Amino acid sequence: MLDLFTILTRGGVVVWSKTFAPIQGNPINNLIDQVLIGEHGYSDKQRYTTGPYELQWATANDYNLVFVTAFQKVLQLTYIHELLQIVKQKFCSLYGERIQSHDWSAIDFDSEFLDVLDALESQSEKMALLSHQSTTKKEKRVWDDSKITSERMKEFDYSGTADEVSTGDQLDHLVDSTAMGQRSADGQYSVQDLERPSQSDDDEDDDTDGNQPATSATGRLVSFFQSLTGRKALQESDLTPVMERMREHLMAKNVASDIADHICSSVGQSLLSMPASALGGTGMFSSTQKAVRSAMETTLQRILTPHTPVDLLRDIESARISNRPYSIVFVGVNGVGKSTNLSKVCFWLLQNKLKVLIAACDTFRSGAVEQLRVHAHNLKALSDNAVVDIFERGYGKDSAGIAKDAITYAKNNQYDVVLVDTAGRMQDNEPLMRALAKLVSVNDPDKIIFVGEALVGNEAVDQLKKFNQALKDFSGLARPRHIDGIILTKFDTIDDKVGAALSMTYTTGQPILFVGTGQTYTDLKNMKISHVVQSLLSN
Amino acid sequence: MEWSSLPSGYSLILALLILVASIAFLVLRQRISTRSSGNDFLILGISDAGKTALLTKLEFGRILPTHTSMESNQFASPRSSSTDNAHTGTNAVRFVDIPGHFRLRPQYQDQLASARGLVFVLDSAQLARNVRDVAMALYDVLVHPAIGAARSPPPILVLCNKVDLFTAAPVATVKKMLETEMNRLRTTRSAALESHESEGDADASSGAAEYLGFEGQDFKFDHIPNEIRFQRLSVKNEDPQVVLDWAEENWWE
Repeated sequence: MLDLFTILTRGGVVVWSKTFAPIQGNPINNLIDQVLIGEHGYSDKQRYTTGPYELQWATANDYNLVFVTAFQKVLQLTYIHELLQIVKQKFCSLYGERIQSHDWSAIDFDSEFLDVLDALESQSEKMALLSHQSTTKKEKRVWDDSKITSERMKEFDYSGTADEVSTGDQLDHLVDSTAMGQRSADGQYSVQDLERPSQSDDDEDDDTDGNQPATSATGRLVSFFQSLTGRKALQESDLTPVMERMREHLMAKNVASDIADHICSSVGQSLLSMPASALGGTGMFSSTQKAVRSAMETTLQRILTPHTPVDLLRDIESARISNRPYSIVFVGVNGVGKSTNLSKVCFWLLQNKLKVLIAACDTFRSGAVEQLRVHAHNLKALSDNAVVDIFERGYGKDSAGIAKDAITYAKNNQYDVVLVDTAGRMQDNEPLMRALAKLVSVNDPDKIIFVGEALVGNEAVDQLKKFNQALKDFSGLARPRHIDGIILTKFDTIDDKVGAALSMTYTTGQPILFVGTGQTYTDLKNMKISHVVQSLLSN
Repeated sequence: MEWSSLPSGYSLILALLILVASIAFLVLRQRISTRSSGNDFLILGISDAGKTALLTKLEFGRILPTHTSMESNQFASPRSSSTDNAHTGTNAVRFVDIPGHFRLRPQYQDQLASARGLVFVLDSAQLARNVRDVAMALYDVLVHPAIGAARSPPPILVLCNKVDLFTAAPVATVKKMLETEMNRLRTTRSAALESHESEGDADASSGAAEYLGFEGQDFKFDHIPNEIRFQRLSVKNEDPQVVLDWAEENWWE
C-alpha cells in the first residue's frame, strides 16, 4: 500500500528508508522544497500531494528528525497518521541516542517497522471488512402489493424497546470521554475548556511527563536549573501565551489575521519539545520569549526571501540575446499606482540603456492613455538618447489585442522591453478578470507583476488569491500562468506597519520585486528583507 | 534527595553554589566553542550539487543517501588533522555543510565570517542548465565582506563534482562559463536599484555597493583577492583526498 517510508535528518541525510515500489521523480525533495522550507500555506495540514503521490510527515524536533511517507494519492489510507506517530515513538526510543551522536551505521529498523505496518494494515482491513459485512447483511426490500405479515411489520419497526435504548453500548461513541467536562461540587456541569486544535496527541504525552516532576519541590528546582542550563525542552503551556502575544503583535503590524495564525502555529510547532539549548545560539539564559522571537525572525526571513533568485535585468539580457522583446504586464486593483510605478520601472530600465515600449492597454478609464503619454514625454526629456515610446489604440478596444500588436511592433522595431499597463479591476469583477486572463493567455508575457498597496491588511490575501485564481480558471491553458512578482506601493506611508509585505509573499510565494517610496521617478527601491523583519518584530 | 530535609539556609547556600558552578561551566563551554569557530571549512554551493554527500564521504568514508538540506550539517566534533596531532592538540579541522536552498542562504551569511576556507561544490554535469544560479551563489559569497574584503581572505576550492557523468563539463570550461556569467551578473548587479532605508545604514550589504574584479575589464577569477583553485572530483567514485590535502595545506597559513 505504501510506496515509501523515509526517516531523514533536517540536515538532509537519510537515516533509514524503505521503498515498496519504484519511485518516480523525487517527491521528498519536492516536499522539502515547497513545504518544509517554502512554508507556503501548507503548515496547517500535514499532507502534500506531488505527482502521483500523497505525502504525510511527522517531525521529532528533539532528535532533529523528519519522518515522511509516500503513497499513491488515489488510495485512501486511514492509518497513516497513526503509523507515523508509532514509528516516530519507536524509532526515537530505539535509536535516538545513536542519531544524536551521528552514529548511523547499520540502523536495522526493517523488522520493527514491518511489524507496526502489518498490525495497522490488518487492523484497518478488519475494519473495512466489518463495515462491508454490515452493509451486505441488509436484504433487498421488496416493494410489492402482497399483504404485510407480522414478521415484516416487526422488521420495519425501528422504534425499539425501552431497555434497548437504555443500554448504553451503542451510545458510547457519541460521547468522547476524554472531551468530557467536569461536574463541580454543586452538581453543575461545566464544559471542558477549548484547547488549541493543532495539538496532536504526542504533545500531550510530552506535557504529562514534562510537568509531573515539576510539581514536587525538588522537581521544581531541577526544572529551574534545566531551564537555566538550557536543557529543558519547551512545553506547550509555556509557549501558548507567548505565541498569543506574538500573534497580536503581528496583526498590529498589519499582517493579515489568518496568516498571522498560520505563521504562529508553525513556529510554535517547530519549537515544541526542542531543547532550549538548540534554539538561540548561547541558549543558557534565554527565556521562552527570546526563543520565540529568534525562531520567528528566521521564519519571517525565510518567507520573505524569494524562492528563486530575481534579476530582472539579467532576464531582459537573455531575451535580448534571443532577439525578442521582454514583456511585463502590470495588474492590480484600482488606484494602487500601476501607471505611476510602471513609469518608475521604465525610468530605471532607461537608465540601463534599454529601449522601452509602453503599451496603453487601459482602454477603460478616461485619461489613462494621456497619463502615460505625459510620463513618456517626461522620461524622454529626463535622460539623453532615451528610447521610450507609447503604443496606443485609443479607448474602448480589446486590451488583449492591443498588447499583442504592441509586442509585435516592439519585435519589428527592436525594442528591448514592453511594459503593458492594464486597467485596474476589483478582484471580484468576473468579466474584467476574464478579460485579464485573456490578455495574459493571448500574449504569454515574461512577467506578470501584481501592484499592491502597502496600506492593505486582510484584503491583500483576498486580492492576490483571486487574481491568481482568475489567471488559472479563465486562461484555458494547460499550464496556466500566475503572478510572478509584486510591487508594493506607498511604502513610505506606512512607517513600521509592513505587514502587507509578509501577507503578500506568504500568499503567493512570489518575491516583492520593488517597493514604491515616493512621488518621483527615482522613488523605486529594492526591499531590504532584514529591515522588514526588524520592523515586524520591533515594538 | 536528603538536602530537602536540611535547614532552609543550607539549601539556599547549596543552591547558590550550584548556580555559580553551572554559570562557570557554561561560560567556559561557550568560550571553547567560540574559539574553535574560526577553524571551519565551509561547504557551499546550490542545492543538488553534492555538498552533504561530500561531507558524509569526508567524515564516514562513504556516501549516505541524502535529500535537500534544511539545516547545516557538522558531524564530527572538531577533528585533529594528521599533522596537527604532533604539534598541538587544540587545533582541529572541521567541515560544515551549509544548505544550498535559496531561501535558507541568508540564515548562514554570518557563518561566512568564521570560515577558514570555503569549498564551493558545483554539479559539472548540470552546469549548462544552471550556470546562472551557480554563478549567482558564488558571486554572493565572493562579495560578502568577510570573504572579499577581509584582511586575510580565506582560500576557495571550487570543486567540480559529478565528473563521472558523461555530460560533465571539463574544469577549464567550467571556469570559462562561470567567468562569462559572473561578468554579466556584475553588470546587472551594479545597475540594480538601491534598497530602501539603506541611506542610513553603514553596513549596506545590499549588493549594489560591492564590485567584483577590476572596472573596465572582463571578470577573471585572477582578479579577486582570494586564492582560488579549481578541482575536479567525483564524490561518488573517488576518494575526496584532494579536499583533505587542500584543507591541510591551508591550515597553517
